[in-house]
Amino acid sequence: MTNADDDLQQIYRQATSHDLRRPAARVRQAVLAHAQMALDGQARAGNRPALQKRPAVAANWPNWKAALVASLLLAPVAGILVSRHQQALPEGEQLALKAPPKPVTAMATTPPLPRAVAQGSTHADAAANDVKPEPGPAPARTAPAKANPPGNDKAPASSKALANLDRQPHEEQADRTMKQARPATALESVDARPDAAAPRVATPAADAPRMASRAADPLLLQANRAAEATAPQLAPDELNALLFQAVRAGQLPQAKSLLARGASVNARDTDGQTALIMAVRAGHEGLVRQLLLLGARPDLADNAGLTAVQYARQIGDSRIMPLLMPAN
Amino acid sequence: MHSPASSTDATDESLLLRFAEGDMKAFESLYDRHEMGSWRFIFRSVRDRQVADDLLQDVWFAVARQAAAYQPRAKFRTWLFTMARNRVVDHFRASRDMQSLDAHDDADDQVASAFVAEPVANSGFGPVRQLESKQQALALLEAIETLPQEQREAFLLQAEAGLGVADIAEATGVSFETAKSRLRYARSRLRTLLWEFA
Repeated sequence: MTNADDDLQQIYRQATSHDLRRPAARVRQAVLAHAQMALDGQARAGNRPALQKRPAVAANWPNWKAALVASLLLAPVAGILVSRHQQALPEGEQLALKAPPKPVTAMATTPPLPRAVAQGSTHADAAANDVKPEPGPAPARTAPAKANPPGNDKAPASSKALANLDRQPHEEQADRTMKQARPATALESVDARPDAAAPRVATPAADAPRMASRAADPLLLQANRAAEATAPQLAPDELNALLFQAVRAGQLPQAKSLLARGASVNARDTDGQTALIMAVRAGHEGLVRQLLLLGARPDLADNAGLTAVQYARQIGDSRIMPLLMPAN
Repeated sequence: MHSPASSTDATDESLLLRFAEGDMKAFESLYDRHEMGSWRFIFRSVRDRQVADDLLQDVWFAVARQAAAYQPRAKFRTWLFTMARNRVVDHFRASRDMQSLDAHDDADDQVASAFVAEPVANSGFGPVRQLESKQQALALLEAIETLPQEQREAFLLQAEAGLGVADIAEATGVSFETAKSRLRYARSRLRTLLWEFA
């Protein structure tokens, strides 16, 4: 650096000393309040060693990350195996497997209830007692005039059983795969909606990889079902725009839901930025992890020529950097 | 808990690590140390106080959020100003107000080639040395505002953050040579403008 360069900086410092403009006082207050909140949040999450009274369970096991990834990878395989096993089972055993554990023993010890008595039982019970799957692929049926409202768990079992009548065997098969990959939830009742079931599955063969991969993620599955049940159909561009908003805001469940509804994981905004780049820049580790699991490509560059990896390197976030390495 | 007095001598990196371990005072010290520098960098880039305030807040929110993941491999200053620079770029992208460096390449070359003959010969004795009054210093700030965005940010990263060429390259995501070139053009242009002012 020459003397003239030094002078340039000296003049700049002199100029700034004459410049009395300052940031508003509210900024300092807001920043310090946010920092305090961040500290509190870390303390709650157990990420702060100084305040951590007892190590988290996972912290006792150094390979927990590898185990988590391995379990996520094995879950779809297990789903496929169970699905194939179910295909080979006789019809009665399939139905018994489909029902929750408790009704299975009830079936073994008590005779089937008539349809009127089945009121109040789960739709799986009703299916086991009243409904026999059709022997082969059936033409699409017209949905009943009165469908259950979304998320209504209290609908009569008989109507749910009727709804199951409209479901084709391969749809039942796909649902069994998903149900066995995650615990039952309140959203289970959404399965019985004929309007939700009809357009979702094309053919079992074409759908198996998709179902298997998504069965690995209970949250994604849950969000998918809720979204299908309640949301209107959106164009891909609209879904992608909503995805970008959700990612920028760090809203993981919304992002998952939008991806499940058809938003493209590698879509770009007008600046060429992908959802992954946005998540990296915003420091949303969970979103980065999920996007990568769902096939987001870290090598895509935005209009400025920078990839997610390069942004992560710039920021130097030690949580995100390892996620983007080729080994992961 | 560390005393405030010890915070004045501590490095930026150690203050951030202390904050990550729960020392709120360390964060306050860090913020007070860099508030004006980071704000001026943003303000001179976006030229709007309200926007500068908002972006400054956003940057420091990110510092607080990501402190737990910070590893002192990179300098805190580089990290901070990289985030500030990214916010500025995002702002320009959103407002579609960003000027392209390509549009200024020819002009830069002309200014640079015109500059080489005079100020180097006058180095240490020319108008740059004479610009000591308040008006002259403020003229520099006006001159900075006339720089293309990429050159302005390169100069400000050096003047406000004290970053070297390598750090500027890292912060702006360009090669070392590109960062060096931008910085050189910025300095040439500023010196030319100050020469004209004098």
